[in-house]
Amino acid sequence: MKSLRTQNYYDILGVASSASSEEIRRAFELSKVTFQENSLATYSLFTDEENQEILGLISRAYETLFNPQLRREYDDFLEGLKMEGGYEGDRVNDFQPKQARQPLQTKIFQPRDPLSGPSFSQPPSQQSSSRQVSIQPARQSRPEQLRTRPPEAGPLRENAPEQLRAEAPEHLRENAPEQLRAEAPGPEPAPLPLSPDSAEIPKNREALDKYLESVTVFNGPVLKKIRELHGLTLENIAEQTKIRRTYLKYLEEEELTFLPAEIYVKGFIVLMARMLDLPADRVSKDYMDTNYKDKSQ
Amino acid sequence: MGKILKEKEIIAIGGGKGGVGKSFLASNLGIILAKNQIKTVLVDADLGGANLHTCLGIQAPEVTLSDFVNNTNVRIEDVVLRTSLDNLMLISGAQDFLGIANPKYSQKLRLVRAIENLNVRYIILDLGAGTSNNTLDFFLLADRGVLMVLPEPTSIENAYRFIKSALYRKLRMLTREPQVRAVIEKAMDKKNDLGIQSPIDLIDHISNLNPRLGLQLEEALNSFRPAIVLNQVRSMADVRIGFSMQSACKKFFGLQVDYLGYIENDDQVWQSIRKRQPITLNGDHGKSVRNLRSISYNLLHNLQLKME
Ligand SMILES: Nc1ncnc2c1ncn2[C@@H]1O[C@H](COP(=O)(O)OP(=O)(O)O)[C@@H](O)[C@H]1O
Ligand SMILES: [Mg+2]
Repeated sequence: MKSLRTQNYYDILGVASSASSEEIRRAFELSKVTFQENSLATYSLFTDEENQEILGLISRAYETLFNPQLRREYDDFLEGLKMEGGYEGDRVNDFQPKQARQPLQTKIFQPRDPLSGPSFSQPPSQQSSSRQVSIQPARQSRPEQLRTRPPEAGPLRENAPEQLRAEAPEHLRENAPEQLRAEAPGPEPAPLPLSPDSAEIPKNREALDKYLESVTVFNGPVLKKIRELHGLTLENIAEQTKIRRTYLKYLEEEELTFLPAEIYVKGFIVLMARMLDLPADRVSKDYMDTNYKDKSQ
Repeated sequence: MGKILKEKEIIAIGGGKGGVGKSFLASNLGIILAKNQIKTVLVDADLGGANLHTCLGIQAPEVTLSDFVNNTNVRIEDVVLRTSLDNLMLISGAQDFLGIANPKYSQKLRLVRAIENLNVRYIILDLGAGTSNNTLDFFLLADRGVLMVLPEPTSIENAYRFIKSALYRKLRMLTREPQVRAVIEKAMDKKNDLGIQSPIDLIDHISNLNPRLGLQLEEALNSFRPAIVLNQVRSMADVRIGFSMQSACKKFFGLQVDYLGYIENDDQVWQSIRKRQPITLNGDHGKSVRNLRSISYNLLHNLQLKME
């Protein structure tokens, strides 16, 4: 992620420095879809936190480049860096707009967003905390059209130029985001202010022991219950085990389709069991037997 | 000779996953090019799962790539099959995968040289599934590497794995330094103790060990430019996944990926495969045919889809 912070706003949005404001807006809309939670294109590459960080950078870049005045200032700033030979490196983020910026008319940025305040200079930790406020789900109402760039001369041109142009067929409708969203896990309860250390002390030892006595098979829902009795959130487990939070959620829900190969699942379960003070062998055997053995037997 | 070499392009079609439509794309691409009077040879480089001939509606041929690989007296021309299209030729894949699925280095080198010297304008390699070294090497050998992806988690993950494996193999081949090779191998495992999560981290790390090599690796990263095709899309949201993958690859791998186009989910596709009549052969004008044409067009002209 380090390298991301050294990218300039054009790189971050993935547009050319000559991009029109319409191109910038489109790039921003795409980025919101690309880096939203559970996005098909990013879930296996970035953690939720990284996605949030990227989204934060993206909204900052958009806010600057979509505003003609700020964009001019930013271009001057980049030009200045280039002349000093300091174009690369962290300094691309040192940009300070000359004047307090006007609220944008697009309403994408809420006044609560610290980024639309008068300065860019808050420490990074503060900036990332509430950045997600500014990201709204991408607008789905306007179907986009796809076209290639104007064709240049080439062997196919005389033969069939018209047929070979890429067009967005009319019958493709905007229905899939709804389906995708239905599969995505619902909102998580806010994480408890629990440090990893204190996390090891169960909230309610008695209730936990009692529950453990009643367990016959360690499956997903049972692991979830035990975790909750430990007073642990998915975030706590994710932090300690380095397993993605979304994977943990799918493990508990036994949503195997969204999980990596069996062998990884087994490894995840072992790690989870260890964190929950459970016998790892027994738990992984139960879990794998329940979920991966032919159910008819 | 030099001139001929320069005017020739090798296109490899991979994707990491089986059944995503690699052979379907390869065969129809070949037909479209040939119908446009462009001399093209299709090579079934799926060592172990060869079925490109079937996608073309051709009976299992007598001579195949394994005849060439296993016998140094056989020339590559001897295994090039003509087809009913003047400009389309086929080198069929091995039926028996014994002996060819894992060619020796010298056999592979001879094969690569022979393929590079074929006297045609386009050479299209239909790769097998997975990320075996053979497959990756064919992919890296090509001027254009195309990945076929379905808008599904498994396929997208496999495509990313393929991109990563190919890139790391490319980087690894740049150096003989055991220390650096060890770092690259370690970096392949996401849970490595060096904290290397992405190629960008890797290059940072190596630059610290050896700045000159770091620059070389960066160059290699910049020159690696795979393309993607989204297959069996059912909605505009599916189409958009290609753009999202592009953006994710840029951020994660530091790679420029071209989005060549998409192919809609189309019943005509499996019907044509079942009939063993390639969909682009007989002047059909269905949606997938249109899609295939625009992909060919973009490939030939170095274009890609643009969001509008
Ligand atoms: N656009 C499409 N619409 C419908 N079916 C498709 C499409 N593309 C591929 N298929 C189906 O997928 C099958 C597998 O394709 P194939 O090219 O053999 O995959 P691969 O070479 O990647 O293993 C085809 O036989 C066909 O039935
Ligand atoms: Mg195939």
